[in-house]
Amino acid sequence: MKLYFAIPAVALLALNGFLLRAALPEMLRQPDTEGAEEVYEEKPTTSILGEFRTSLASYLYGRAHEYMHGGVVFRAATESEVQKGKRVAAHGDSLEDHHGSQETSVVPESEYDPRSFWGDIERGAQPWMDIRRHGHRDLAEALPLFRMMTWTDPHFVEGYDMGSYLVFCAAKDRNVDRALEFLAEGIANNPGSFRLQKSYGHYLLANKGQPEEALVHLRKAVEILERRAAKGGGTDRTQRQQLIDDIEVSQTWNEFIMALRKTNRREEAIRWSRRCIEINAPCASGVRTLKIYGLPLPKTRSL
Amino acid sequence: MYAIAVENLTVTYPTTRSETFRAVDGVSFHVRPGEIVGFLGVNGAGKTSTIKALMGFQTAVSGQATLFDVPVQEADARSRVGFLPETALYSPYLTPFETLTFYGELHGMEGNALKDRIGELLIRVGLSGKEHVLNRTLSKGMQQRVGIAQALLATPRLLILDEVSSGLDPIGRRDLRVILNEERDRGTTIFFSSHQLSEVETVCDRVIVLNKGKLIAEHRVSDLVKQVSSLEDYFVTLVETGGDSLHRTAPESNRNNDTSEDTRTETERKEAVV
Amino acid sequence: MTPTLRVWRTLIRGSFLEMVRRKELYVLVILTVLMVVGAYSFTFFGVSGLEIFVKDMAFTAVGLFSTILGVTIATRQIPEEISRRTIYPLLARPISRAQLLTGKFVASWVLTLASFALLLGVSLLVLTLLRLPLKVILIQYIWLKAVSFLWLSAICICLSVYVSSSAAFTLGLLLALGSGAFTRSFLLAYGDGVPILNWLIAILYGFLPHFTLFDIARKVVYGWDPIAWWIPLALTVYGIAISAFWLKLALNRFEKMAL
Repeated sequence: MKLYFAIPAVALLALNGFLLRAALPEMLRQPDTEGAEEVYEEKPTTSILGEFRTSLASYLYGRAHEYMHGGVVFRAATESEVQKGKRVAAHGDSLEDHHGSQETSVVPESEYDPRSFWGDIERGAQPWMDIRRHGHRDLAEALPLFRMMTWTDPHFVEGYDMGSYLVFCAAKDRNVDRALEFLAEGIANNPGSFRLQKSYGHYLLANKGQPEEALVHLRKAVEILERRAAKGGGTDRTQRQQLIDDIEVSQTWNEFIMALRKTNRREEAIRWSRRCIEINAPCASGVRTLKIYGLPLPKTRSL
Repeated sequence: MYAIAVENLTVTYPTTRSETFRAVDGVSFHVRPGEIVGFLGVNGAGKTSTIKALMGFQTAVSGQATLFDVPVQEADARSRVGFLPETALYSPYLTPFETLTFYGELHGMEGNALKDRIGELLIRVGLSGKEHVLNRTLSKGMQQRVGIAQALLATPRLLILDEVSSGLDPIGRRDLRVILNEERDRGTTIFFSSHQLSEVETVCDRVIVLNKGKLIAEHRVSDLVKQVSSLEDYFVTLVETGGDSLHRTAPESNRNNDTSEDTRTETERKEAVV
Repeated sequence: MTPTLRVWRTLIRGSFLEMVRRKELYVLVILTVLMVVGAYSFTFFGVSGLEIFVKDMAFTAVGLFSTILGVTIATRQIPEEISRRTIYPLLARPISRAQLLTGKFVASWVLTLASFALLLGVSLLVLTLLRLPLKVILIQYIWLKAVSFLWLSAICICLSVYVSSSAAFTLGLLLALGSGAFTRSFLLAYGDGVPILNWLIAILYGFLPHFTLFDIARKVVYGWDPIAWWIPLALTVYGIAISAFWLKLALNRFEKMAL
């Protein structure tokens, strides 16, 4: 009787193995992001397994924020909260930029809590701290999570990016080399990621004082962005708007133009500044560069 | 004192927001201690609704019912009653022994007395050897035997059995007749509904017939068999015509009698009825 | 022993036997172990320092599975008796409907607590074997969980006498697992509207179950110090009062219910 169950179970396992075999080579390949997207679109098995590992990595990424705050959950402040002046104040250490500038705790502070007594109970029972004066646990505690999420999904760019930042911050002496090592692994797995190239360039430029070396990576990052813009440069206004609004894109351009200036590449800096302003309205470095060189600002293209 | 006294009982069920269906419509009857009364009627006649009202499962919109003079709304009314519902499926995760222990303890029985009683009942209902298998492995007939055992568990003075022979095979029905006769000999009052008219004819002292929620006939079985060729023919004619052509031999005149009636002999009671 | 206590004891024993013979508890225990060991297994692949993650997995599994079991156990107590028609032989005993309902409630609570104890016990054993210690706050966690199960059982029993068994299960699970999200949404909406709307939100907030207040698992996982003792005490009084309210609501319906 048990054989009736065993046969379909073995068949199911065999099918599972077959699907894995079909999907894994594509997953283990190290394609650039765009290539990976194409593979995901073409192969359903790769897509499903890819979705699973990306979901797990995303879950871990979400938990990492909690880990850094001892289980306290934060959320973005609502528009009305921002208008009423409930904002996140800068806190003790230098990690403020990992919070959005308008973030607040899910369990509100007593002066914003209409529940009075019940609010006090929740603040007592749940992990809670006043975000305006909060600190962080030992960041090293969250590092294994980043190690795990990038192990689970080597193409999870956010894991490498944020993880390298934590590696950098967790050590008291700001261990740039370890951060670069982690990023290098990320770049090897995701050569098409402009974010990782940008971050690598940023550490070299800002923390190692190596603008020439930084420029190599920042140039690659901008080239990826340009390729992406050329490829997706259709009439989809929302998508373009989102791309331009992306803070990472903006930072990449800024870092790149800054590196060009620091390496005394005047003509190139002017050319890329004009290009940046043309396509990217909040291009602070481009504007600054043109001002430094006493040149007029170009008209921005209507978006 | 009557074992069962039902006065002008009406039970309704809501069918729509504003309409109700009268499942039992002003029914009155009495059952004396020691009597075996068959409760007959076609499907939907109102037998189960009457029994549910008797057991306090269903609230009557009017009229009243008592068991041994205790209103059925009170939990104490059921302290001397054994009840068998129509086709109950006893917990599939318990054994007959555990099922009976469960019901026995709810009745306040415990210890060796309960164990002995369960052992005795399992033999009586023919479940000896099956006491420690899970109920889910038992057939419908076997489950009905578990039900009969739970009804008999607390040595009741009144047995109310709904569709008692449901699911039983011929041997099961024969065993049931034996049990009912033994209980009658012990002085237990038995009130049961059944579609097995031969069984009713064999076991009962009296029959009460319901049709469309109303009581349409009440006869002593001994009188009936003298007047009709068979109980089945009588029953079919009765339900189809909707009226009873026979002389009503139920203890109509005794309904308001006091409890001293119980002390009279069977002969005296029969005389009073006739 | 009073008749009511005897009825409760019998109902607990009967339900316990049923629970032990059903497969769901064992499946969830195995799943819990798999989740904890699975989380720890990352250390074999060179990822070390995952203590908090492993504890997080353990307490997520214990909280989630015990809640699912609690809802399952409570929402089937009465409907299953009705669908099997065993409610009749039960109520044919000299016991009142109030005794039966309260007995079913106590049985649900005890069984949920037993399932929780088993799941937690297994998790703690695994965590101990993995040398991942916990702090004293664990005692407060167990205490508050016991109170929250009281409330959960009362709500689920109440739902099961008003709506169908499957609807009660869905609603119970939604309230148990989603109450945190609901209450937070109300809290966000409060203050943004006109005063009348705020009053309405406050009333709705009061009616919603606040299971998140009773769940201090995160504090256990992250190794916080024990919470102030007035908080578990206040929550216990609140939990008992609100459970009594739900139970009374259930009783009102059950006593008039045509079976």
